[in-house]
Amino acid sequence: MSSVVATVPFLMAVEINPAGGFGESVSLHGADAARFLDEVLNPSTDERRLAFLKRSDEAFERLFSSEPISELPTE
Amino acid sequence: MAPQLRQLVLPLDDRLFRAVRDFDCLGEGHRDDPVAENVNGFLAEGRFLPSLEQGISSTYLLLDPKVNPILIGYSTLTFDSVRLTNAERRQMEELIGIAEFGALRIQMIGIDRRHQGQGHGRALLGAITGLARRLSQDVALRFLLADANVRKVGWYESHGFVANRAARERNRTDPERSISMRFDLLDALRDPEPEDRALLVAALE
Repeated sequence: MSSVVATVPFLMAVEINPAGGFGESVSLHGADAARFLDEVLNPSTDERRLAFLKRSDEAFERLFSSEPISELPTE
Repeated sequence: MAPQLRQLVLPLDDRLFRAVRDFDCLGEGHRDDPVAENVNGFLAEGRFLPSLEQGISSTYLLLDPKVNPILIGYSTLTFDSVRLTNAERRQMEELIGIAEFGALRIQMIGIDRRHQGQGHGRALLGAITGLARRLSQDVALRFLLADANVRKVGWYESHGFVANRAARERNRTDPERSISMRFDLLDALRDPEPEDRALLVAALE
């Protein structure tokens, strides 16, 4: 697949705010912001990320139960 | 029965409540580790309950009735977003039509010390990522976010997470604090139609 390459201007700021009041708010500036925007337009081909995406589908299939729990399960 | 990841719903029965209270992720490697203490107390001390009651977050338990303790680990998730500041909103909207990215935040993730070192953390993170991937098929969800224990940044990076701030910025922070990281849930961008591509390239030039 071909990708669209963007020239992302530096000196941009990106703000990451948790919606529910949890976690750390982060403001990204300059190169950090450019890196984020480039990633949005061109998803990383990092082999670790792509391999983990595949494994995550397997892990979900293996572990996830759609049945909620409120009681201790028994064998 | 193999380990299962199941969403916790209220009210808890007494036996499950005791299992939750018994959770302990503070092994030898987590002495004087305030982030790990927070992860431990959030579940074992019941601090997850108010946000669960109010529908702000969801808590998932990794359990296996064949092992002792039955509760292997847990994770609490909440919806979040990656936003652009006002100064960049317009430019970003012009580039790709949106200025805000949906995200699922891993608010907490922990493995009981009696089950650590057996790959459960990787499996739990994988299942959560798989869950986020499925949610992203129905709702606008591009990233998985985590406030990683600074001692675990390498572990997250080994799974493809990247820090939201460069190391030079991170080094300025309190070493006991967590590091904001993100994971892109998208395999790759779908190829746009040729006409759309031409318009997009023209907009970027």
